Amino acid sequence: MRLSSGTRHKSSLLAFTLVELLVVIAIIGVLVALLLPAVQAARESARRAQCVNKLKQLSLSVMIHEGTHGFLPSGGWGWNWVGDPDRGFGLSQPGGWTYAILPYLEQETIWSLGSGITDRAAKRQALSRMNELQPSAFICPTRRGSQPTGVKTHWSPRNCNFVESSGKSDYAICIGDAFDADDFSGPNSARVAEGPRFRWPDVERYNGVCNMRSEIRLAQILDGTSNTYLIGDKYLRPESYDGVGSIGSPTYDTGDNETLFTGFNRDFQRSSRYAPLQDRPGPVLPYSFGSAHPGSFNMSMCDGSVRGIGYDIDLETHRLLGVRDDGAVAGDSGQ
Amino acid sequence: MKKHQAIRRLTQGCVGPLLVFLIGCSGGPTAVEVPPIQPGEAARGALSKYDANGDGQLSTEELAACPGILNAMGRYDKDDDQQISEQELSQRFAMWVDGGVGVTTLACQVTFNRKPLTGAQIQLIPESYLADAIEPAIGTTDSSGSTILAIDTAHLPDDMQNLRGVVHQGVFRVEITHPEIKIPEKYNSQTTLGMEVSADTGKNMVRWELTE
Repeated sequence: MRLSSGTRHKSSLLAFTLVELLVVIAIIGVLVALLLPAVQAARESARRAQCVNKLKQLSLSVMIHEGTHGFLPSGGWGWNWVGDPDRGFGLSQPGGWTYAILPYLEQETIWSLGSGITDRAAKRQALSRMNELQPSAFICPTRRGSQPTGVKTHWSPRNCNFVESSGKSDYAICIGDAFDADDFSGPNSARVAEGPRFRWPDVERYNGVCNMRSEIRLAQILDGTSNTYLIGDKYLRPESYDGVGSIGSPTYDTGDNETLFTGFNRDFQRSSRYAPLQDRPGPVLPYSFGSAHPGSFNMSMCDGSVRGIGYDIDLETHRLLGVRDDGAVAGDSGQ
Repeated sequence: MKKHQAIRRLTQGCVGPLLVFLIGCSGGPTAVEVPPIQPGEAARGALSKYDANGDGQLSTEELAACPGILNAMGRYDKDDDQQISEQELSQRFAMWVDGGVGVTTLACQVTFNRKPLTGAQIQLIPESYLADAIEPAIGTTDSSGSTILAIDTAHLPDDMQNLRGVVHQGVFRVEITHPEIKIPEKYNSQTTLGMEVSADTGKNMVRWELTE
């Protein structure tokens, strides 16, 4: 007996027992578990700061655009048209706000792609190339990496060629509290659009800072620039982050299905009529603001400030903040 | 041995809840479930209800009784023969399940004799063959004659109760009534209004122009 107990004692000095090992692993597990959420939270808060900074840059570009041309960026013609550097700024420009602010975002090289080309085919090709680019200024780091993603397979643009993947925008301008955020794919041709008999759809209901062919001046923001939404995070379901694929596919979402530089389009226009929501699998809500951030999403105001706004914001306050001329006083429900 | 077992039980007892805790922390916002439509069963249900002449196909005449599908004919009739077969029906229904869309947005605007109709009550009633899976939606129009249609938020996750205003995909008949104004029967009790709600079409705003 003595011998055997002595041997056991000796062996336990030389090696860990399984139980000891398990206890150590369990302790390490507990420590990691305690640390992990803190690390994740720190990473997310860094990404959120980056996102706020991007919104700030975008709204500053809008302000410089306003200072240069006297009006806020125009919403363009429709989702079958892309920006064209030879069509200037304002209502003659088929591209949307994302295109109009490029020169003021230090991205003039992208903006001027295809400039001055008279050959129609070459021009279409140049504009396609432009749409295949993804400037990182439009991508929220919490949501996805900055690389081109899939466009809907049945897109048929009027003034460029089809592209398989393109730049996208995680930020949307506020078109007001309308019940829809876009309505028109655009005219069939520029000649038709500029003909005397062409009638553009009615845009009276869009009471925000941008809509189809809009040229809204700061003086028209009657509620005050610090009380009116400019640009903010848009909602997108996570299934669609890496491209939308074909119609009816499990990744399809009409709120992210054309290219970054198209005209009037819900891909980067949203309505404050709809409740904001954090991205989640299931809902396809192409008119809503929202983001991938937990707790709150970011909105910039027309004075260039950026606010974090809780998803539980009072819906009436959210709606009124989106309208530039309602005359009502919206409470400050931000953080 | 007893000591070993006790410690093992202790470690197992710790690791289990720990894993649950970790998964619970990392699993972001609640997903919205896709309505449990049974495509084959629903297609058979639609046929047995509307196939008056029993040829296994729904013609445009037969679909007059089901305006939701009739108004979306082109999206069902893949072989372009002006008839909708059981297979075409179940393919379309299966797309709603496979597409992973839990809920989507639908707004509407109602005019009566060309004027916006304020205070109208809109009801989206699921066709009987989908009624087990999808929920009805309602809305009351504002001064512009518009409203967002909404299912009961009881069918949404707890952190989406603020949302008010999402609908399921599916085929619906539409009934429009008004507490004060008499709306013709063809828009409510004998309704001829119907629509398909499907996120892939991008039609999240619908306009109904009612006339006396």
